[in-house]
Amino acid sequence: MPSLNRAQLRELTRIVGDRGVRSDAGARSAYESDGFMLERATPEVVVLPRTTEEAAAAVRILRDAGLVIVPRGAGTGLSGGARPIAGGAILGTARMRDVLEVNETDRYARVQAGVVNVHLTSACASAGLFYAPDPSSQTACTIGGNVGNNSGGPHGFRYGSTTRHVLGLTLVDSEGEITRIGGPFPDPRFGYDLLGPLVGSEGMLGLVTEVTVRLLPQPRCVETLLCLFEDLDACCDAVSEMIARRLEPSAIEILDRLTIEAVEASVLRAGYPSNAEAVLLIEVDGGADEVASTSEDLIAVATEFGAFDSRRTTDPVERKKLWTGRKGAFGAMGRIAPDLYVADVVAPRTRLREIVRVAAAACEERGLRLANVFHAGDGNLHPNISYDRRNADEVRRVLEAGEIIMQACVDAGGSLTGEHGVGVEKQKEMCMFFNDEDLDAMKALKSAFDPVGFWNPGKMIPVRGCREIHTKPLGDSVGVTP
Amino acid sequence: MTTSSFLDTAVEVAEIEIHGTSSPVALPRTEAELMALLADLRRAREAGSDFRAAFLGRGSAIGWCAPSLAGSFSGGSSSGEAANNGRATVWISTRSLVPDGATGIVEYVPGDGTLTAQAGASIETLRAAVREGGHRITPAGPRSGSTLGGILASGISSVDRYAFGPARHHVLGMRIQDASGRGPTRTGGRLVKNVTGFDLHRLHAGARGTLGAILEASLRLAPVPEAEVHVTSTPFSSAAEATAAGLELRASRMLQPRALFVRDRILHLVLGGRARQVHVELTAALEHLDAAAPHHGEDALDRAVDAARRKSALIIATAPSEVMTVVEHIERALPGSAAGLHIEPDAALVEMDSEGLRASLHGLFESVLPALDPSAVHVSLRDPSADFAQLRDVLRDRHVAPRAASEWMRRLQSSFDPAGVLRSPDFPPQEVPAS
Ligand SMILES: Cc1cc2nc3c(=O)[nH]c(=O)nc-3n(C[C@H](O)[C@H](O)[C@H](O)COP(=O)(O)OP(=O)(O)OC[C@H]3O[C@@H](n4cnc5c(N)ncnc54)[C@H](O)[C@@H]3O)c2cc1C
Repeated sequence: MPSLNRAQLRELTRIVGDRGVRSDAGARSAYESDGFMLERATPEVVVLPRTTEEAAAAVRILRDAGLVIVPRGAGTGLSGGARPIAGGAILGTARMRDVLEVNETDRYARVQAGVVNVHLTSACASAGLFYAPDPSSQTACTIGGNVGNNSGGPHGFRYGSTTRHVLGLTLVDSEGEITRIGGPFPDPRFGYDLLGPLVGSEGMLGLVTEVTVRLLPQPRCVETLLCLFEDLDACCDAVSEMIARRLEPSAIEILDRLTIEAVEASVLRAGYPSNAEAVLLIEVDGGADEVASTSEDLIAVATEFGAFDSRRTTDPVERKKLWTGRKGAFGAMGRIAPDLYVADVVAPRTRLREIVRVAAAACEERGLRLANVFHAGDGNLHPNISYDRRNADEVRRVLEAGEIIMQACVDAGGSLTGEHGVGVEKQKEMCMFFNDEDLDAMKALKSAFDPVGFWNPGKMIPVRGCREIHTKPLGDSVGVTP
Repeated sequence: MTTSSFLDTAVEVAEIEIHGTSSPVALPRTEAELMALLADLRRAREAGSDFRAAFLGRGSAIGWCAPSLAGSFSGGSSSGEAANNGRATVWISTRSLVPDGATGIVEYVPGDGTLTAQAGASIETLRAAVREGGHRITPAGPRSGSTLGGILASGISSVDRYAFGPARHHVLGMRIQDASGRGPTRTGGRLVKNVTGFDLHRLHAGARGTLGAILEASLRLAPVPEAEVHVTSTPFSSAAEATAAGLELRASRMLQPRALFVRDRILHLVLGGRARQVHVELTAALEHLDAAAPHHGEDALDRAVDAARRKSALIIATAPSEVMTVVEHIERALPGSAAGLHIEPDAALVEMDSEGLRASLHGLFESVLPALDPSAVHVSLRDPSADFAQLRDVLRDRHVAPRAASEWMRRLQSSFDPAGVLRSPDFPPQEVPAS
């Protein structure tokens, strides 16, 4: 196994400082997994540069030492994208936390990749601007990680995922060379749109060290609605109808009873009602009249589909509480179960109810506890299954249920992942969605940027061909060791 | 050399007018025929034939939005890029893949707001079909005669980018036929949200067919708004004044325009959305602008797109905060040039048509270009004609691409097209590494 010699370790320390190199076993063990806890590996070394130049210099040393690199932001990813490769290096952005520029007139910000999502939002608030992608993990996850996974969030319903907001970035490649792509004004641009494939590339094409993002003017008016349902099916159908009527709020989220109970039992208490089987948490923004018209129409649809109560608020304190509850839901659920498997699939928005039912049945049949909290407006489901990772049989049942849900989505014309990425979690399942030739085209992209397979190797693209995987029985393809 | 002279494939060839000359265009009827044709072309290249293949829809965009496809233009040749200049071109249409009488629609799901269609589908047909379900395609506009694939491949956006961003933001997935010998490949999906695998579709959007042909694309659709209105100001005394008014409206944030641009000293504004909101915003706009009677109705945005229709010869891209400086420079140096100017303050674009450019070439060299900082203002030429050869050389030297980025692009092209069958993109010259 390749490793760093003393001189290389000294040189790394000289470049990034003492605090930037973690090579003792205790420190390295903190990086064994990301938010996908089912797979772990120990890195050979963890390197935390402060600047693009430091990162580039570190890459050259690691490359010379023959170590592969896994880029890492905050490690909140849920698909294993930032899980180390045994014997490889972790190159983390935890010390690259500077907001470099907020330009009010031109409406963009330039940040180091390790800036935490919510810090960017606060940094531009006084200019009356905001950064739209708002993953529920936004108090921890980094902009670089958001770029890595093309992350979404509740307000992605109106504003889209990260890819629509990245104007430019700085990439350190496998040569340790620094390249700036795009900028505050990307259109028209040189040659190909490299930003497209770089966003969502899960750390497999290089290390992003700086990101230029588009900022939007804060909406003039915001209203939050909470519609209460006695039944989850009806709640799903109401969402399908809102989409079919082409209503345009900024977020449409569903929380079911188990989620509500978990949130209300936690410090994040949002005041969600205890008498509802499911609630719709909706936000509408824009001009005052647009907000009023759209809210009225949304409530009419909810009522038509059986909502027994609908509440409206424009009070910022109340709104914040409702959203803190939603965004803390995974965490709240995590507190009532030892482990939580957060599935992430996409269903056509016309078939929400059907897929939510498949998930419920798959869990019920396997004696598993399921809670739903998801970006309903985008058809992006998150069935959350509680389990205990020490119970091997339970782990097996969880993964089996996860696979059934994925297959149902793909069969319905949906997809494997809406925002959490493929990572190691869904690597084999890529073959449900793509064939070998599709994956070959992806490999071609990978090798154009990274001909030697230096960045995050063995992730996303199945290691074996799909034909090979398909010849194995379905149950067998889940080869995860808890 | 004509298309059929070295091909074994029994593909129909028709004569189509491209750039004023009649050119043979291969018309594959099925994807299998297209694959066979590409295999033939690979063999011909390997046997030493000197030609490049280029895809086209109906050819409506060739020559202005895709200059690298135009016969006389060889972008990037100074960097050692394989020039297309002088080579025979094998044109291949994706239009013929749509069976006669068919719409090319693979799937339109009104309840999900998504459309999947063949690349050769006529954009008018698609617009009409989704209109029935209350939807619109981004980019807006009639642009009759174009195919979906042609629009996506050439990276065209429209003035509705103010509200909706560029067209590529609405592409959810594609099927692609590259020139590697692989069969058709899929990237992305058909749903509004999906991060399964690398986003190759955004790479193909705007790649002008140099990485392969788009066979099919899935799009996120926008709702037709409840109300829409096109407001046109009375002419300002200069383009700079009209631009200032546009920038002021943008900064005031009292409106949420769908489009805002200056054309021939007139400020155009499209407001759309919920009826009550549009009413309020229109009243506010009219308090700020001297305007002609506004045009209400579902065709308001289309009318604005029509008014913005142009064949830009020179495109200056900068930041919104620099737009005024650029426009003032142009007007000062080239009095009377306002007529050919198209300005989008939010997208920070200033464009000039060929006529305006020809009339003002001297002033452009003498005073405009030297005043614009190349790191903040990007200038590109879209008119392939010989009149602008000197300007082309000057612009080529103004901008360089980072070495690594050029290298990635080159590697991408050679892995999707290893035999060099397809046209080379107009890569910019490469940055010379500091020694
Ligand atoms: C409670 C909770 C809620 C969540 N909610 C959401 C949600 O609403 N929406 C959503 O989309 N996701 C959500 N996530 C998932 C996760 O937070 C996001 O994927 C997030 O963007 C990851 O950011 P990170 O900084 O933690 O990145 P990491 O987990 O460290 O890395 C993610 C991926 O990006 C790569 N990467 C990281 N930094 C860089 C870089 N600088 N350059 C190149 N590659 C890099 C990594 O190699 C890895 O493949 C949630 C997670 C949790 C735990």
